[in-house]
Amino acid sequence: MRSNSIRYITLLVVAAMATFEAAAWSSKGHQVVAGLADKYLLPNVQREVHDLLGSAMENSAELPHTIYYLNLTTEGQPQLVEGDVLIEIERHIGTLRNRNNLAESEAREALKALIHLVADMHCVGHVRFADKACASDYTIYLPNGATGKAARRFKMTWREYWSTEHLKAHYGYSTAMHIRDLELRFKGEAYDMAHGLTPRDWAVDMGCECRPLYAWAKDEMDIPRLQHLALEELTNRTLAKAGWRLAAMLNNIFK
Amino acid sequence: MNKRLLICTLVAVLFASFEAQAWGGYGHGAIAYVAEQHLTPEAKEKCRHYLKHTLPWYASWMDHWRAVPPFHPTNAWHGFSATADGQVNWEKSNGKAMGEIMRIFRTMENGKYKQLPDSLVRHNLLILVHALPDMHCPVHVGFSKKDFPHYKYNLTRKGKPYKFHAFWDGSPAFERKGWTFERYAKEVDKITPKQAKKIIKKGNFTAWGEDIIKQAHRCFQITTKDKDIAYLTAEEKQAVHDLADEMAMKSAYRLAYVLNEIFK
Repeated sequence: MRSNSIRYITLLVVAAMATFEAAAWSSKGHQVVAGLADKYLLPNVQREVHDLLGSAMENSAELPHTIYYLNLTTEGQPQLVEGDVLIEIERHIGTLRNRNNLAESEAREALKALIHLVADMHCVGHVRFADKACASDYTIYLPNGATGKAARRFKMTWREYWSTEHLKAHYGYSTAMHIRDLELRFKGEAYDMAHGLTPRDWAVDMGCECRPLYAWAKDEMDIPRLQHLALEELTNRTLAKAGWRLAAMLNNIFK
Repeated sequence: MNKRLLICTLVAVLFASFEAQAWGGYGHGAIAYVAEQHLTPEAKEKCRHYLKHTLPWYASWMDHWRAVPPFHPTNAWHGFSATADGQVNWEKSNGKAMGEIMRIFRTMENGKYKQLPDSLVRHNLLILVHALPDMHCPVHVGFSKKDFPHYKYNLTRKGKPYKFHAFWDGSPAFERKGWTFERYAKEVDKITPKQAKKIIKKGNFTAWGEDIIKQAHRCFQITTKDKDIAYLTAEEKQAVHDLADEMAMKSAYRLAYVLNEIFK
């Protein structure tokens, strides 16, 4: 009886945690990046991509089970260690360039992985500097800013913070609406964000974006309300970069 | 068994905290989305020029920033005060939402916005996008304790205390989990041009205030002191939606009117 109830409780907890995680940016952020990229594919590329996926890109941004990180040196250069997101991206690009010699299913899996991994690579919480390799697992606290009885501090990891918290501020936004707002804010910078850059350039750029933040990050730190609100711009900029870079890359592969 | 109870409580807390976060800003975003659908092309273009975003993007900004010290004085800009006989209490409302909205409108109307620096036009727009809908929320009308002592109570949810204010703040999202703003607009914005004209009341802010005060009393009739919000009847749920949606639509159409007038 005792072991049955423990099993039952464990199941409940696992179910609760799964719901919690599924509700995070994980799906929304990936859909925004994929949807933005889809809008900027060349017509013939878009046709081929949709044929291969069997749907629009937004519907193919689901998660693999493994979490990939962008590993950088202290100076912000790619480390290219085993399991690095950059290595995975370059491997899948190679697969797609060779797609005419492969089974369609293999090309499809490579495309799906790319759609997902390019977004992952642009999430601040997925960056790891050599001197702060554990930062993604730092525990941080986000105060709600209220005082007295209403004051709350939400506990999460650094990676969870960057994956979820700023997207939550726009609860009720459909993916299409979020994309429209990214376009309004960043369209003037789209060319500079994506044109002529390789994934290794993206990695160096992410290093520049993230280095000051990682110098600031500490385990068990509070992120003050003002900083939290100011950092939303970075989350949106990295989403926009990921979307336009993914489009530029696919336009190049499928041209 | 104790262990089971403890873990079940933990699970409940997880779900509860998630739901609490999910409420934030939905009503504001949906209202701003509806308002944007009723902007003239000129007003829409001008708003996007100054904000670099859509209206819903900034719909809740004042709630996010009010806890940051330099923005503490804006805490009062989310509602206004009423007199016992249903008028706007101007003595107490000048530094509040109603007073700020009128001040901004008068500073910007009839092309006067062109004489202001872009940053000030943007700042004024941001306040309008949040404060004008906010003062339409039934619980954002300040009824004095002296005149309405019976309005000071809280509700329950599954037997536990639940804030009256929090329930009505979240009423546009009540039992509408997963609704996007587009869906809200499609299902709720069924206002005819004739109704819209009645809502606008020729842009008379005082008449808007009196209308809001009149409707605000309804929330105390729908969710009376004895109500447990987890067990409302179908009629009571409908009454919650009717009031929430009516006020949401009024605020959306009035926000659109104000922006259209500023940029005409």
